[in-house]
Amino acid sequence: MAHGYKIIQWTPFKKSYDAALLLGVLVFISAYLVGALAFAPQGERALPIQVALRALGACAFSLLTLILLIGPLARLSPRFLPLLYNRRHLGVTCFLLALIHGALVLLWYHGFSDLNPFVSLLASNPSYDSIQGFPFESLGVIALLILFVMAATSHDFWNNVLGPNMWKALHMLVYWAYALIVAHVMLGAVQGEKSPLHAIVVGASAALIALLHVVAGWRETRRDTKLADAKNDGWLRVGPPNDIPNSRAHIVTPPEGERIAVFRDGARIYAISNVCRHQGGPLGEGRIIDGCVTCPWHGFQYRPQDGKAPAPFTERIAVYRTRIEDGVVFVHSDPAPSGEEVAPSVIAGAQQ
Amino acid sequence: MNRAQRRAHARLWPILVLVLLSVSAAALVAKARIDSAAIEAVAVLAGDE
Amino acid sequence: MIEQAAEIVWLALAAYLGSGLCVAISTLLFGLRKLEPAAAEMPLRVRLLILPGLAALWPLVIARTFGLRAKEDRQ
Repeated sequence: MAHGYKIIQWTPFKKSYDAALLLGVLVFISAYLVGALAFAPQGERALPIQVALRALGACAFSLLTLILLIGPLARLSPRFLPLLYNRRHLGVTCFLLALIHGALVLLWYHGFSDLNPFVSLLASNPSYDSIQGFPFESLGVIALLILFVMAATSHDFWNNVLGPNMWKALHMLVYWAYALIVAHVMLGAVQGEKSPLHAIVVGASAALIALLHVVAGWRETRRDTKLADAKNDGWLRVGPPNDIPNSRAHIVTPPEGERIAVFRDGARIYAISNVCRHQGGPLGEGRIIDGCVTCPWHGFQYRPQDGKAPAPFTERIAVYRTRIEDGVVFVHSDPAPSGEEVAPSVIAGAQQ
Repeated sequence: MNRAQRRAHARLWPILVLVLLSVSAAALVAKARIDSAAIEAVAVLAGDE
Repeated sequence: MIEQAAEIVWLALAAYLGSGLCVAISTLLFGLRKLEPAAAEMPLRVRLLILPGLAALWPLVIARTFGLRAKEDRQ
């Protein structure tokens, strides 16, 4: 990538996104504090510091649940795509909340013993061999370490250094962090409480996350197995050109390789790889803006005729040949030679 | 998502669902045991008086 | 016994991150251009931002600096 690195590439949208995030966190924590301090039954009232560290933990868990909801929701409906755009700020905020939660736990529950607080955190409860009274703190520590690695590598510098595939594989550890946090709450806070509120909220959140991921994954698998009609010579049937909305695409699945996005720009038909070089975003769900296909995830752009990102960027994706025959668009499943410009098919009789 | 990422998700989620279910079930069973033990203890204490 | 185990875990973590910090600082001072040519002119505050990541992933950072790269990510 040829552009200079900045801490954050600020846009007005990102600023309002972050303002909403900050406001949400503050409202959540104050509501939790007020609820727990004012409405807890007599005799069960915890100290303010205990309520505060629980509020931070609950806020981090809720934020992580929201973060994990965004991915499958955006795959199920494009309405949720704006949330995805700045998801990494949610992730870093979640890590910071969890870090303060951990620091307060260390201070309050382990800071006054003769033992080193860090050792005490892992060793003060030795029943690692029992589910009942399991030292759930250790699970939180592992989850916090995962969140740390993810927050530390959330800058696009890391996407470029590690490569999108390894970056994504590293960041898929978040699912294990989530499972660890669910276990951390279920074996920790839930065990000591009379009210089933925490158990219900955490259980329902985990169930919702699992359900949405399974549904979204099942839909993707179905799309991958529903191959485009292919002739022996490698041409895939796309459909009538005017079925493709202007500036948008139809996505077809070739027998092998990545999906292909077939775009209509006025009377011209182009075909490019459906996979964005940045993080694998589905280009075919994006639009043509200023003559460039724009990724719906983070706004990376490519020229549809040669697959090159406009200067100063250097990314390039595969382009495919198209043709129109008897009012039907076909795309060839083999990509055109790299860097070569592919002439668009023009819809006959249409106004340019 | 590209094909490799979709495959990674398809491999991960069945395992993750099992893990989430078994952890939650084990925790709730443990909690039910603690609660019933506590109720018994209260009953024993009440019987002593 | 359990306390010794806990101590070992934390010491191992500290040793890993400590070595990471050494690798991270030397990378930021001398090796950033080799790791990612576009980052050669990176301003100081962005360097500080990527420091924790360099410390956390230092074995990978060393591998990348000396040119090992996953095949599918080569352009």
